[in-house]
Amino acid sequence: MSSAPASAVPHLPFPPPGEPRPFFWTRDQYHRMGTLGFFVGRRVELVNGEVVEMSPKGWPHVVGCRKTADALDRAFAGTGWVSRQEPVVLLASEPEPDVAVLPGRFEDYTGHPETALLIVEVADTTLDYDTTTKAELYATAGVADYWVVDLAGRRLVVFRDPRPVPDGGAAYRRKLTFGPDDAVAPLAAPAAVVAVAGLLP
Amino acid sequence: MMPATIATPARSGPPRNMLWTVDQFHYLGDLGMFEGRRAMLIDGVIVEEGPMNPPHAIAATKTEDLIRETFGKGWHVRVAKPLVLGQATDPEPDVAAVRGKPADYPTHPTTAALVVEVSDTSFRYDTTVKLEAYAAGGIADYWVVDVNARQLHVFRDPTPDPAAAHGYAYATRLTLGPSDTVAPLAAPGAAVAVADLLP
Repeated sequence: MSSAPASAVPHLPFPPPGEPRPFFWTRDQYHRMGTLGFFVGRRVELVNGEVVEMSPKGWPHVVGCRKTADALDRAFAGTGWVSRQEPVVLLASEPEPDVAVLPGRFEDYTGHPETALLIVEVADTTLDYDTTTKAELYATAGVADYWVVDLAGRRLVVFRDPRPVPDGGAAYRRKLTFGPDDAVAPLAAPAAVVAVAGLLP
Repeated sequence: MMPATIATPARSGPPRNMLWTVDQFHYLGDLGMFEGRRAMLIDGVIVEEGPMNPPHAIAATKTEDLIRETFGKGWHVRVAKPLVLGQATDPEPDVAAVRGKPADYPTHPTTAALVVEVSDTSFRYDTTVKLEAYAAGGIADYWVVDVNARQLHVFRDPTPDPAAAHGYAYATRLTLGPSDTVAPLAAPGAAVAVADLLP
């Protein structure tokens, strides 16, 4: 369960002719900048080659994250372990999902995980970003089960069935919405019953 | 020493890309992050252009040589070197005519008497985003060599313009063809033949 060396990720080829495009950072460069202190005082992730600053955490976000992590701890006891806003290496990105369920045992890992059984983003002010950019990233990385806890809408959005799309990358074919009275079983823990109300503040 | 960062006020809202200062951009360049790449900084965003096609490279070389010859003594010509326009913009123009000698600039120049960009497929970007950066940066004479249409676009008189991204645009715009000549504002006696800039 070790992670690939950061330098093994190839740099993207040159941009095609036309408009200049945002410079694409590799994980290696991102880590180097972090070590040099570029991100001191900032909370950042590497998403699709760009260094993205996370919004400050409001209290509802803290509550949503904690309740979701606790619920998934119980649901996956014995099959996986739960990380909270820690890096997951996916393709050339290094997001820090609010909650991720990783296969196996934490003790067996020697580096950041590279696959996830389930990823959850808790959306306070980030619903749009989480249901578009992040969904595309997780689909392209082959994450089978991706949830977004919509705090303002008090609902859970579930994305499943990632499939390639014509212009490269992938998208989730299925998008399901659940309300506070519903319960959902994670794909990788089908016997578990996760009450949506238990994820919301 | 770590350069100062752009202050990000605490705010809610969607995540956004981290913005870079000119000092950070140059520091990253010194670290070799942009080795072999054509990177520049526009409004805190590091953008990258694709490699030059042969016509672009030829026009760039011809332009550099001609501008150097036109300005002569008392000036030096910088090719794809930093030109600092504010805290978060350095477009690293293809060609810039700067007063004096290189040694006169222990830190990078913050203005140029003439900036020339050679455009191949980046024409739209060079005549909109970059144009507004140069206008706001007070560049009095901005030229774009369009290698495909074989024209030279001359932009002058940066003036306030509420519709522009940074409040400035060029009030004077000329489009010249291969049989035309033009004198840089800072070398009014010269006659630059447009054909001599084209591949």
